Amino acid sequence: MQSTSDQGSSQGNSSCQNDQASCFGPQFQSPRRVEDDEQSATTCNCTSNELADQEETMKKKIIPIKPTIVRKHSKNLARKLLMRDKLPGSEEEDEVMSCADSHSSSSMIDLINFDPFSDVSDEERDVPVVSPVLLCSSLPDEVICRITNFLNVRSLLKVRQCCRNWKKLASRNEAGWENLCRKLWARKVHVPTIPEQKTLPNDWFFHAYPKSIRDAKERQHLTIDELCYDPDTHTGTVWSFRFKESAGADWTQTDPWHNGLPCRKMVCLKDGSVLQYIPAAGDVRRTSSSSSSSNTTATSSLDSEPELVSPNFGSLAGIQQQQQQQQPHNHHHNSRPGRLVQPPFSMSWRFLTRRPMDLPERPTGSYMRFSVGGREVPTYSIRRSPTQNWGFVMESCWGLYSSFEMPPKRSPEQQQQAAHRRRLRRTETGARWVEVLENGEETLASNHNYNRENSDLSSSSSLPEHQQQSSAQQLDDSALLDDAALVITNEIQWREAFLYNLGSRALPEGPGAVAQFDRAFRGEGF
Amino acid sequence: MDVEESTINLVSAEGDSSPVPLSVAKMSELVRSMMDEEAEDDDVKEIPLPNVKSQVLHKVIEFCEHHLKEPMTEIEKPLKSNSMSDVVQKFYADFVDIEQVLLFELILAANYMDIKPLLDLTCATVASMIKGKTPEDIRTTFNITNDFSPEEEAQVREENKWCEEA
Repeated sequence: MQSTSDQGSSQGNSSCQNDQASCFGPQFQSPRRVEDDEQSATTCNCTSNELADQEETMKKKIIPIKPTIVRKHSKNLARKLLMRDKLPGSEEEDEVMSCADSHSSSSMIDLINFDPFSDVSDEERDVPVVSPVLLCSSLPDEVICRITNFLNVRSLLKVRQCCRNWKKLASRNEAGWENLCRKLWARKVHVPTIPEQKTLPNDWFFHAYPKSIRDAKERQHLTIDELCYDPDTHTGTVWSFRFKESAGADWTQTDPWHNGLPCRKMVCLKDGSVLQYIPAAGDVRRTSSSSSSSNTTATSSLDSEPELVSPNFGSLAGIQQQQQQQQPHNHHHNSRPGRLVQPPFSMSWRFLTRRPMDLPERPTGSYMRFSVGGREVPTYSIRRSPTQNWGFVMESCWGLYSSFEMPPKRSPEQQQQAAHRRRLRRTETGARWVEVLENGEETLASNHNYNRENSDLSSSSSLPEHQQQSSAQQLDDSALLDDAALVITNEIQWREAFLYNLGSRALPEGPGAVAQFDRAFRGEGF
Repeated sequence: MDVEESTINLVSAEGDSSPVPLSVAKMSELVRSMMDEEAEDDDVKEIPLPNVKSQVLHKVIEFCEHHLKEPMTEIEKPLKSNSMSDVVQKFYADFVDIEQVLLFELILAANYMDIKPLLDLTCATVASMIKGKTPEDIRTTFNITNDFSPEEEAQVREENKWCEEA
């Protein structure tokens, strides 16, 4: 660096030493020698604070900075601000720019001009001391947040990995996380909620985003609060119910859903009773959509009851209001609560605390036992909805509940069409989607489009986003419309179904239940 | 009714004065509020902008003039594309096809003069330069030095892991 060009450039600078403005011209990092006894030391800029001061001074047209002050800092700074890479074009600009261009002070230009190596020896240069977050450091924090606001989740996380300052900034709510959360949650029926605090931690949404995704993915069981409805406040979950075809024609013929009407609605109260929920008159938006196109089905599965409270996140108020504003037609029985009536046969509910006969051990809140007219019906298994909307479904071999408005039954024509699309096939290793071709052949479907969580994270897929979403939506709906796409079948739950059909009042449970049943079934007696 | 619209002079840091129609100048909330404050005084003819260099001010004026003729489409968040021409009209995409230094100066000017569409455009442009890049690429692009200790870096990576797994 101790070349003649250093000398030349240093002279170039001294030659304009009387012209404060021109000394700040954009000489992209020209190697420059700063001698303590040279006045050109004024061109050295220092910490950003000092720089700002300097700018201030100039703006107010007060006296230029005293060389002595700068001189004092130049050495330290040279060590601090290590800038290795030369920008292209620096050679030619050495001579031309130093005087010709009369840009006045600008923090960025100054920083670029500043040659950190001016009085650092070669050995010292290899020691990185403090990061010069050049260029970007001159942007105010709120501007950086404004920039990151345009990023998707994946890119925002990459920004966090760049440096300490960006990590801090890119974690803030206003760096984009609040927007991203609201966007994500607006598509879900079971959403985490913003605590009713005046001031959230400024990275609350950054943490809430993955937490909500993880919760939706990993927690397959219900809490009592999520299950129940509070008749006093008219809040809580209103479950949509329909029979499966496997329940038999006696049941499906009288089932509103099977007749193209909105589902029967049920609520569970905390006292263990189960009541029928009759939506308030006028709240009949769903009725009109019973013969709907896939378009309206898409809406209906999206904007149903967002009242579910996730205990991980506190109460719902904030986000709910948001959603209502976004979706003026939101089905929201809080505003016009329905009536609760006794079903024809009295019903009660309880969570199973021990495993049911036909299904594996899972945490409390995973299995529901309804008793109808004093007889327990086969266990309902609880899981997240396959519609990927973060809602819950409860399913037995004969019936299906969803924690949101169930999409309406397809017309025969739509069913025909759907038959050519996809099916969920159960295999020994789990369930997977297969494409059903016109000739009835099935091929393994790529999970790519189906996986909605991917599109929550990134828009990097080749398909335009709206297309991805609509195809995902169609699949989503079919997951609740086709019994074949559901999980609990007569084959799986045959023991409980068998006992119920024999007239059993209480179905057995617990680890020994299967063995006991099997002995009895083989005629060895209970 | 073809009345000549009154103009106002915007004065750059260097002291250069640019005559600009009022409607153009008022796209800057800063200018607007400065004029409102001095509404009594009919002779407001100059607005000093000591933080904005001539070169940058000219760009700003070019933007505002065009924006009155063809307002910029709202830029969707998050960005759907890395290319600004997919996001805004051609003029605006070309407008920000500039050197990084000037782009950053425009951001500062837009921020200082409080011109929301210009701030959106320039910030989105920087975002488009970040989108889809690896942290290493981003550092190179913006000349950022990795100041994480190895432990810190491992920690950030750990914190971001959920995204890769999902």
